[in-house]
Amino acid sequence: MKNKNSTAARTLIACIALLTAWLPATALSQDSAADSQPLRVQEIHCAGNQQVSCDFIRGHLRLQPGATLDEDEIRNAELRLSALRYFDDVSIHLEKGAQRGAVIVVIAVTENSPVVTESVAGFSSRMDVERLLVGSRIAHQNLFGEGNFADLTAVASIPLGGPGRDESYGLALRYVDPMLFDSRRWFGIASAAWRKDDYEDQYGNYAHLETPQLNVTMGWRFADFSYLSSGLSYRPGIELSTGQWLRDQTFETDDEEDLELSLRLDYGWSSEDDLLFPTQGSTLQIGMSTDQRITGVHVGPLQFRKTWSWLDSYWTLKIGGDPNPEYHVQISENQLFAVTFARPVKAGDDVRRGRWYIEPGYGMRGWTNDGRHINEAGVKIGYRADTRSFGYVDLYLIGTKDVGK
Amino acid sequence: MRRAWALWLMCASAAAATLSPTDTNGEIGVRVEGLAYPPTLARELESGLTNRLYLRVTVLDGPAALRVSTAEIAIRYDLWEQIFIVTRTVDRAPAETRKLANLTEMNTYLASLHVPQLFAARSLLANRDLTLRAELLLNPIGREKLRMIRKWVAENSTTVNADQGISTSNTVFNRIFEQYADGSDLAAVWRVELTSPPFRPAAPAYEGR
Repeated sequence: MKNKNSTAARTLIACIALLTAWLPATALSQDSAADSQPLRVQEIHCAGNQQVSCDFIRGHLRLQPGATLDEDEIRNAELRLSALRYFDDVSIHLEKGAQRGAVIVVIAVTENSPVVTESVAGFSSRMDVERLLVGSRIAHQNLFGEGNFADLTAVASIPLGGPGRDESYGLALRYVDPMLFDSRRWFGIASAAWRKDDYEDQYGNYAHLETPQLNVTMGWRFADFSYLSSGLSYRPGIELSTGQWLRDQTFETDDEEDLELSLRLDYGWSSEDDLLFPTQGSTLQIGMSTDQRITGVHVGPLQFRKTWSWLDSYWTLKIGGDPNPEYHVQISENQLFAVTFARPVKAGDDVRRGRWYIEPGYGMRGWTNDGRHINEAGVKIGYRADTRSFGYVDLYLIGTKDVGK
Repeated sequence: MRRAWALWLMCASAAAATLSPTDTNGEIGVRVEGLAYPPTLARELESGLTNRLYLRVTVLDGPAALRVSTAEIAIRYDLWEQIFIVTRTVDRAPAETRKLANLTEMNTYLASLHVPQLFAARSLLANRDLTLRAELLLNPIGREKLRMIRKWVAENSTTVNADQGISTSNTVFNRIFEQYADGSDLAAVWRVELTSPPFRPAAPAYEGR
């Protein structure tokens, strides 16, 4: 009996020992299984959005409720959303769902102000004609909460001296629907503007223009980066007179007051990653226009820009100045052909990002009174920054000479 | 928030972080102390998503790189257990998994980050003054992914939500793109480079454990 009891006791102890040994192993394996079990998306929520709809935000996360959680995709979506102008900050986190293994994906955003400003100020001495150029734009980027856009731009070129004159004033109000007909392919622009230009160089070439202008443009995007746009302009009461020396030393003048209507067709592309701070890619725009007289088709101007990064710097080749891809507008002063060397500056308390740049350039500006080509060559230096206090700021100095003189 | 990032980005490299070699049974590792992690780190760590701290450690003999080893510390917060699971891999091979009970333990772990056993001491030049250089990146993004994201931005800045005359991308994003443009194979918003004082692998007396 004693032996039987002893055997039973030993068996019991062995069982307990086995059970004791087995339990942690089981718990550990369950724990490991829980650790390695993929999470499942229960819901996707947004937080912090006031102007931008949650549907729009969720559309950038290629995950659906019920799907297995893909952390790579979440990180990608974080980057995609961070690239949008609507947001100052984007972060995605998980919250516990209704049961273990089910998570709620929360996309938390801090929205940017839809109102942005851009300013330019520069001093130029071009072929001995000195002037001060100042310009400013204020834009609302998300009208009606639908991504529509309106801006008001004012630019003034104030003459300071020299054997000539370069004075101009412009005011433009634009409205843009970047997704006309709710289509990603179509965009529409309507604008009303007024401009006055008085230009005379030291050789007697001149152009005087004063006109109000109403424009309507519709564009179509195709392929990856290209677009076609067509626009109609109406300039009631336009006053335009030009005079220029020709190669044979005759002087041609033209007073045109019947250019009230014109039709324009443009083709372009833009594969740049940023309009004001491109790090790569190219932009092209070329167009043709005709007026109500239909006496001919005027082609141009051609504008092209390509940017590379090399030696911790950005190099840009420009032809025809800074292009205005689609309905973007640059307020800047350029030379006909230019190469830009730009260096990024470190972000600071007020400067989100910035670049200083130096831009040698060259251009042909018609003929002199003795039949010689005007060869304008010079250099522009500047600083462009995205600031918290003043929006986008572009400050520059440009000096050019007629090098054939 | 973005201001905090910008300030942090400016100051990160200047922070008084130190890198020192360690020796564990004849294998050289590194200890990183005093790192100024991004101010959003706590939020990131508790996000429930895996955060990856990537280290690329190079043994230098003067300017010459002798050996390179990489380590990744993957940190995931278990939303249900409310613990941190930290998995360390060295040159892609699993090295250690540990569980930390709370954010305080996690912060302590990160404040004095020890990554042992990166190089066999005997494989290094003996009786030479060597240094270690460590690049640390939080949630690095590979070049191919950057290329894809960048293409997406270029496409979408013209076809979906064009910037309409005003530049689009934000500071964090721009920071990443600039690293891509500089030719880096990996980019990250938080990126720090440290160099150790000289040491001799034959007499690694810094830390024996």
